[in-house]
Amino acid sequence: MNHPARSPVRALYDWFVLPEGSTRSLALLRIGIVALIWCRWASAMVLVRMPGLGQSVLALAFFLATALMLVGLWTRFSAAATALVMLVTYYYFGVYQGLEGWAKHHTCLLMMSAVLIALTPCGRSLSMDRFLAIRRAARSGGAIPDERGELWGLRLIQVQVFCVYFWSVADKLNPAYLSGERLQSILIWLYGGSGDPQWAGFPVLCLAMAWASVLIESTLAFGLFVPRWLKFLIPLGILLHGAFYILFPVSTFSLNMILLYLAFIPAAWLHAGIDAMLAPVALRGGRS
Amino acid sequence: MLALAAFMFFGPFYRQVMLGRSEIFPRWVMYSGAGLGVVRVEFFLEDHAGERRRLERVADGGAEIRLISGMADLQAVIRELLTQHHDSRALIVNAEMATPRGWETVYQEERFTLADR
Repeated sequence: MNHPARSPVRALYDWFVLPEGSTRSLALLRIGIVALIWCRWASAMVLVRMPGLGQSVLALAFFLATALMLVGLWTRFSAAATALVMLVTYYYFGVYQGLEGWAKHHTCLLMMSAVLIALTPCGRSLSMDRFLAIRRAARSGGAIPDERGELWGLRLIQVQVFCVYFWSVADKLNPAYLSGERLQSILIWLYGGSGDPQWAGFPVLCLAMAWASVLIESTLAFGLFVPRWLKFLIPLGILLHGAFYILFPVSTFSLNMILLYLAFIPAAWLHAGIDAMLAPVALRGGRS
Repeated sequence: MLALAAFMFFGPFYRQVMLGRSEIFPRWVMYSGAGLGVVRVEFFLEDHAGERRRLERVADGGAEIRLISGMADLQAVIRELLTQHHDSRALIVNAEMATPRGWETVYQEERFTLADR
């Protein structure tokens, strides 16, 4: 039987709209994103460092919103407020006012992560909101709410990870990078003096690192969408970003990318994995 | 949702391919500007008998060949070395600078003497 051909826009839309599923991966992402936001911004946001009233208000909103988001209290509101604070931090203070270090790649990725997670029901698991909902249900004798919700926000996070790898590889596809020469100058800039490293392996090492980074990032860009490859690609990605983290001052960027891999793990797998980890505790009556 | 995905994908296209300057859109060019202008260099001293010896990274006399960035910085180091080694006949310099196109030679067996200080 012939089915009418779907339009490309419809096909793209259908691919985007993941079915409903467990919200535990969203919850883990929520908690991890707040941890990274604090790593990057908390010390910069203390009031003593705020030069004006506008930034002081921003700082107070930052601590209030992120603290509520971390514990998952009024999560829809607190995640949206955190996203708004990150948008103001990045675009107003970083881009518009040009504060040094406020509009960098790692702050952009963190801002995008906060915006994307705010679009999801990330408070339905591992949160005070859920705890309160369970208590209400117990008191009223109603059903305990499911840890389920719409997952299209996870797809947007996947797209964000794809874009980072795709455009990063696009930037590297030039003779200067692929010959290893750009990496040589970066490593000399970071580690050495201008006396060229005298050991013969340095250019070869840089050449190998250049090609390895391009090949691995290209593979991750597309391969992370294939669930059965994840057990190989996630460790590979962690190694890649671990190497970047140790070699270069990338701030929260590497850990942010690794955290976002959670979006690629099928939500049902992750839910079952957490159940399996907690099962021994449940079997002993909840005592650890 | 599709609009946000389009922003994430086409924002870098606008910045990286069309070379748009608006910072509203993200770009993913990590470390693309790092290390530009860095100079890698070899210094040789020539004595009055015409003998040549290489100045090592931590040079004789304790003057370190530090990280040099840009031509002005390179010329300042050359002047510094000429002053330190004023008893030599010449300082010979091979130098390359990091550019977006890779290493570019700025000095090839270039001779400097005290008169060049």
